[in-house]
Amino acid sequence: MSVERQKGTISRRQFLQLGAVGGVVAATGSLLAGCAAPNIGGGASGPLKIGVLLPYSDIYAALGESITEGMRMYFESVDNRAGGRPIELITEDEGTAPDAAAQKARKLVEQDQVDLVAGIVSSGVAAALRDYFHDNQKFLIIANAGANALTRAAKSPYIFRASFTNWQPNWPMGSWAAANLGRRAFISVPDYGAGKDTISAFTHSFTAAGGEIVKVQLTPFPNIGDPAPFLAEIQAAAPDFVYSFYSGAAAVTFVKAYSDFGLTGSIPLAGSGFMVEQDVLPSHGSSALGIKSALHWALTLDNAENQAFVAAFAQRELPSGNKGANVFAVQGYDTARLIVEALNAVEGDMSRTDDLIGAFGSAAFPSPRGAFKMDSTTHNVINPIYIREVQEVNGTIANVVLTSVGEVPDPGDNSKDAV
Amino acid sequence: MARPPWVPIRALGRHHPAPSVWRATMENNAMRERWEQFTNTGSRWGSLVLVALLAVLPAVAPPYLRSLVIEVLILAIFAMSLDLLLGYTGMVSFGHAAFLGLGAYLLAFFTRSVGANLLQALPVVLLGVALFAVVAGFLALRTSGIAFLMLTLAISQMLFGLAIKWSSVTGGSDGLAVARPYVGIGGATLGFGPDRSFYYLTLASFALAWWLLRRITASPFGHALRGIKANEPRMQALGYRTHRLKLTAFVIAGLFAGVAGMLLAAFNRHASPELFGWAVSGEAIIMVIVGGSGTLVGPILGATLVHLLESYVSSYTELWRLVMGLVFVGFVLFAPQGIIGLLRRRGRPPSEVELAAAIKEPEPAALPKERRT
Repeated sequence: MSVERQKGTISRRQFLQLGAVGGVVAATGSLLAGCAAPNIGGGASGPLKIGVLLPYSDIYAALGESITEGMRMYFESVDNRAGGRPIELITEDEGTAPDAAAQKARKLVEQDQVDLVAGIVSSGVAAALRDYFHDNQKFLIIANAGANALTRAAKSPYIFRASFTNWQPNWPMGSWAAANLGRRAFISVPDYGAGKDTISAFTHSFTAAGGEIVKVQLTPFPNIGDPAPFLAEIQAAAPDFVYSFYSGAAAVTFVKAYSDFGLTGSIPLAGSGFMVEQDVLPSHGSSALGIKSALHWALTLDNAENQAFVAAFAQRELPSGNKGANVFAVQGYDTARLIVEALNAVEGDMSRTDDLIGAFGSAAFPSPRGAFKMDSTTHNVINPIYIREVQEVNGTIANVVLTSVGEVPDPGDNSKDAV
Repeated sequence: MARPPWVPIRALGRHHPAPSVWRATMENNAMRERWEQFTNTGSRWGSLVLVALLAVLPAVAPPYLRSLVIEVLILAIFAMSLDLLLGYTGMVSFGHAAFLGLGAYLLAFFTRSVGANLLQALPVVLLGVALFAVVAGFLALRTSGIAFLMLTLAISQMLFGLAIKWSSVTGGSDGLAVARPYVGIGGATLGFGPDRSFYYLTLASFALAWWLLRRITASPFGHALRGIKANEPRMQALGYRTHRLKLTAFVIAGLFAGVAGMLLAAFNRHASPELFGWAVSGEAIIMVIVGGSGTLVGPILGATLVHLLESYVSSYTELWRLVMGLVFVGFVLFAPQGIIGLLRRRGRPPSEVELAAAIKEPEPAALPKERRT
């Protein structure tokens, strides 16, 4: 090795080291500067800072995007003002790990000093953050996470949910299925919290209506893997119908395989509406035809608010290559409206905590889902639930509302759940 | 290679460098050792100054920075404990998250069933972690290399599965709420409810863990571990019972990781199944490698850099995982010894070997052809 070459190597290394050290110093410096920046917040003046904690990476990223766009769309429709204050959104990535999300929540509350936080898709994250918001008396408006417990045992005066509980669509489906689909049901759900909430809500009303659960099948979460053995088990059990709850990629896998196995014609498939929602329906294609499901919204829902929402959302999102209207966008839109309505009621004064709790709890307004009405005892939205069927309408595949079962409030305890 | 100007021509003789060179080498060695100590396990004064600086930090830092530092200190304990296996003993564990999660969940069980007194919880939780580490280590240490890596991964994934599925006990995917523990003797109690007092609990744990690990790595036991990393059969031939030593290291590393898990669960007031995930184990390995394995200062620096960068970058871009990946690739390619390697290369005088090489290496052209092969 010659001296010259050695020298050359060292100087390049030094260059890289200096670059790396400089980068780290710059990053840390601006981090400190960001931390130390004086914060003005709270009270009734200045911008209303809303922390938006939603997944923008990992498996729930598409949901996070839809909810965010729904929120933005509503805020823009009221000129980004609530209670006389301009709205400022600060978004952070929820990811999927509760500990990382907890750190983001602290960043929003402690550094950005937001007035309230909205968002949260994962029930695991919501459960982990519950105590943080409760103890700090910070308002949290949940825009998706559906774990029943957040409305029941883990209820907090500072936490409101503008989306749904897992119980809400599944419980009404039990009695409807017993009357319309058959008496012998086979349940196939992923093995995690939401899957188990689905089983207990459906089983309670289904058995009360005289139905019988043939078998409960728990599949791996979040990746179902090869669905063939599960479908073979369904075929062998020969039930009147299958009740299930899958979402995202697992829904596509399951529904497609169900059709490929030739089960669609012989054993009807029903379930929670997320299995055939707008985010996965295009991937299902014709394999989803005939699936019956329950949810608090449908694309084809016939009310003026919804038609305006669907058209406006499509006009806003489709040109930039984003998804059209879906239930998550509706939840974001309603979450934003709930915040604006409540802030208007207290004239933008976040310090009137009790009035604010009252305003959130009694909020009611027209929504794409029919009507939005907050339940002041459970702090969970009272959802209108629709039974829908996937049909081909004018050449496109969509959910068509068969019937509405009316307003379904969460019971607030486990009295209407099978153990 | 050309002769450096300060080396007399006579000193180019092979076996007998001139006295002046010899002396220079000795002085170099002493300086080098001090620098290495500083960048290795931390010098006594250096670590005291750091801990003292951290102790006054809450007085000047805003709350968010304080909570970031709490997380960094906890992750530093976790990364140091992993390095005892990875860097010192040469056992690449890809399941170190098992102990982090176990510490968190055992604390959750204890605070829910008995109470949140740390003086009662600590021995019980640590005993639980140690028992698990003995059994897991006994199984995993029957193998080495890739098989050890896979076995440790399997053990942590097993616990992950248990935490998710056994929902009546573990709360399933929602995890368990954890009360902030307190220290209570008789009627007197010291609470850690507010983040400011919890900061000092974390700092004290970090300082104690660092000090203990310094003593452990400097002890004959620590030297034996390094011996195992260098050449295990030779250590066996010398009469060391290497399996027993490795098992002890595994249990000690598990205990420190368990403490980190307890702190993390107490800080977040929550234990979630994700703590057992392989992503957590992988991130700890990244911290150790980015910082510099085989040292204690390395994992501390690695945990600091990785965690701060992650928190900072993810506020600005959804592609933060890409940035983290590029940083890791950059380190592996350009600084395989991590931050510590960079510090050593920059700051230290030439080593004896380098100095000797500069003196002794003959001109290649001067050698007969057959000797060059």
